[in-house]
Amino acid sequence: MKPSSQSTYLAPKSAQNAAQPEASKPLRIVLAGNPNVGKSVVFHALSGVYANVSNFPGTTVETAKADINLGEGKTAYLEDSPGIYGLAGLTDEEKVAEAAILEADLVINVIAAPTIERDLFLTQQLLDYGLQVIVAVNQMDELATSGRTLDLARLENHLGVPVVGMSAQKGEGLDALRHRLMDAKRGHPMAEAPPADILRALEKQPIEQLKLFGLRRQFINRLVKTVIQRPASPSATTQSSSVSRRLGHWLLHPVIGAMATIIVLLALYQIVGVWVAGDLVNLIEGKLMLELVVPAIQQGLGLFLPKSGVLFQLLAGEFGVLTMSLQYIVGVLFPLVLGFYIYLSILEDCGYLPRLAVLSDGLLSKVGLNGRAIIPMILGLGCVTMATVSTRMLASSRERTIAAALLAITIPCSAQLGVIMGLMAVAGGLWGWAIYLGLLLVLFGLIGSVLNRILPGRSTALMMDLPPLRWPNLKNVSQKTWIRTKGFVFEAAPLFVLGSLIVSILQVTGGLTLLQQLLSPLVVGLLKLPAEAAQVFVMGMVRRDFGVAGLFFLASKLSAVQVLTSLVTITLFVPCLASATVLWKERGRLESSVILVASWLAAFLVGGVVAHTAFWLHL
Amino acid sequence: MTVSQVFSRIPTHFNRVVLPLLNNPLTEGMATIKQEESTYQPSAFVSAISLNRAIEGSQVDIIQILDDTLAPQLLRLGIMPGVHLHIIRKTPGGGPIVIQIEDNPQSELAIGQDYARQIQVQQVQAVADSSP
Repeated sequence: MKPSSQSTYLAPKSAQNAAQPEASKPLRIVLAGNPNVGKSVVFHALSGVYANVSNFPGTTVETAKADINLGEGKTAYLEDSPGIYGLAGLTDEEKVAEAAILEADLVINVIAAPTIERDLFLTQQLLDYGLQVIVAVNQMDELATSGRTLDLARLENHLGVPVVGMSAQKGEGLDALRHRLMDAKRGHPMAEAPPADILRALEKQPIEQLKLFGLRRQFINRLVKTVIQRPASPSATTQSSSVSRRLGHWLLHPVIGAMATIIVLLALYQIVGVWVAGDLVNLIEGKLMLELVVPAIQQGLGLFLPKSGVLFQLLAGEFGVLTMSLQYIVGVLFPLVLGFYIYLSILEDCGYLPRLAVLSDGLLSKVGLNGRAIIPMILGLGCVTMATVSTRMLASSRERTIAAALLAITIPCSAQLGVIMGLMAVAGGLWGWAIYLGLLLVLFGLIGSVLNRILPGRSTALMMDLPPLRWPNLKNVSQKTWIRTKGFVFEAAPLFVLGSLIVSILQVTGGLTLLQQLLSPLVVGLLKLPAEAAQVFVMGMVRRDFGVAGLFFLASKLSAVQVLTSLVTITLFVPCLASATVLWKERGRLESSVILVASWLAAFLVGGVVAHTAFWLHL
Repeated sequence: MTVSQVFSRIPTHFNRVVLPLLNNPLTEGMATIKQEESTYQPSAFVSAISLNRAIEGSQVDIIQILDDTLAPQLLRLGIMPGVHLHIIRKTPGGGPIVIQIEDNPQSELAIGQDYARQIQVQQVQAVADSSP
């Protein structure tokens, strides 16, 4: 079929241009590129659908997909893909990306101008494989800061496919990409490359792959020399770029970097722990929810239902679906999670997190992880449920298992931390914190190294780009925070409602008392707590911070040691219902059961040790 | 025979990879890639150390990559025999080595210990950087 209206910019200009889809099948467009080059920004610009934009390599774990309008009533199917350095199927992530790219009718290859030497390897491979390609050169503005210049016309000539310059963060060049999208075509394979299908087969064999990769690398390096103009003198490098580089290097310094990390964590404590969890939550939960909203719901419902009835208890009682879950989700969790995600998004967008990954790599490699795993761990301080999902970004199944177990057992979430901060004043203040965090760290190391020993295989080492530091972009930060908070509200909140429903049913049927009686030997004998404390643990199974919050009411009856014992036990105890469900989905039945049982054991063992040690020391 | 002589006799990875191509029937015609064009010229006095033992702030040349599954990964990133690296930072306690590839001043890469051990380099210049 030949397009009659050659005038429109979207119509293919020649027969060898972008593949004409069959009438029934929409054109399939896939974004491909190295990690952290801005594929997700391009995806957003073309589709209007927001994909996770970040300044951390490897954040696209699930590929975003959307239908886009090409004009003239034509539509296409656009797919984002995880960042890869080349097609070789070396990791799970690469296999996902490779499958998407090889089935594409048209590939938008996004490359970053500052790292063009690295990025063109994938570009050349796409051309060698005979795919229909258009190249979008992003971060042209950042290239300019180094004083280097890139000759786009010459690059287009060499590659034989359309090349468009962009600064996607500023929104520059996206229109040009849209205009030339349908000009995508097959380009020039590297000199002397065998035909595409033979090449694809050859690159599946290790020795041939190494040879061909070597050839391609040389070919690219020669090509880059002809299109990149270096500055006459190094002083041409602009001030801001060298300051950012210098600062980046300081943040990697063992002592200065560690101090910076402590400052970052203290600021997190102050902002999320003190201001949000303390002041803001007191205002929203204490004043707004408990004094206005909850009584209003109870009164309103009291008009229709008898207050002593079962239904009223289920809906608006002590653990009611309408009252307690609303009070917790809106009053406590939402402000905490929102505050935490804003802070994290700022850290992520300015490029601090990869530095943190480098600093923590040494320690994490001792528990069978690498520096990348710092991201799920830090996300876990916000919400363990969401963090468990993010363990997908780790390279091997072995690492994902270790990370999921550590998250489920040893990482306290922001909701918990919020309540714990309030209780620590009772449990010995600074000493209480030292013992609490010390125990969690020891257990983190212990569980990690045991898993590292017993799990088969080997963990992968770190291999990560360090993107330049930059000022956080308000739009990125707000969009990222919004996406994460939305995810939390839609995925975790329904499970919390279910949790409070279960507790309500247990309370109404008397199951709660029964469970408390069953648990009391453990609670009284092992942990040396009053029998009522069993209720706290039962509630902790549903939601960890329900449990901790329950301690508030008991705290007046408990000694400092007893509060500390309860806090340690509750933290290690079964993750909340929401994260247990996600754990089940991510790691399967067997693994998640083992992790859950291990967390029970760890909780009561460590809690028992604390209680008995204090007893022997006559505290 | 001195240590450096022994090392200079070991065929480097680069030679193992590229030279056989010249007589490979499938890639015939590639002989246009002349050996002189290759960026790496083995020096007569090569003393190899692994990357994790290079000095912070110094510069090194890559001689060889010992692990055959790591080599293609590194090739994609532009790391191969003959490439000149700046050692920006070494993190203590088994942490990664942060490097910058000479021809690519805006790209910094953190390489974990396990990988760094597989990369044989030659120290060319031990100049302390101005950074801390």
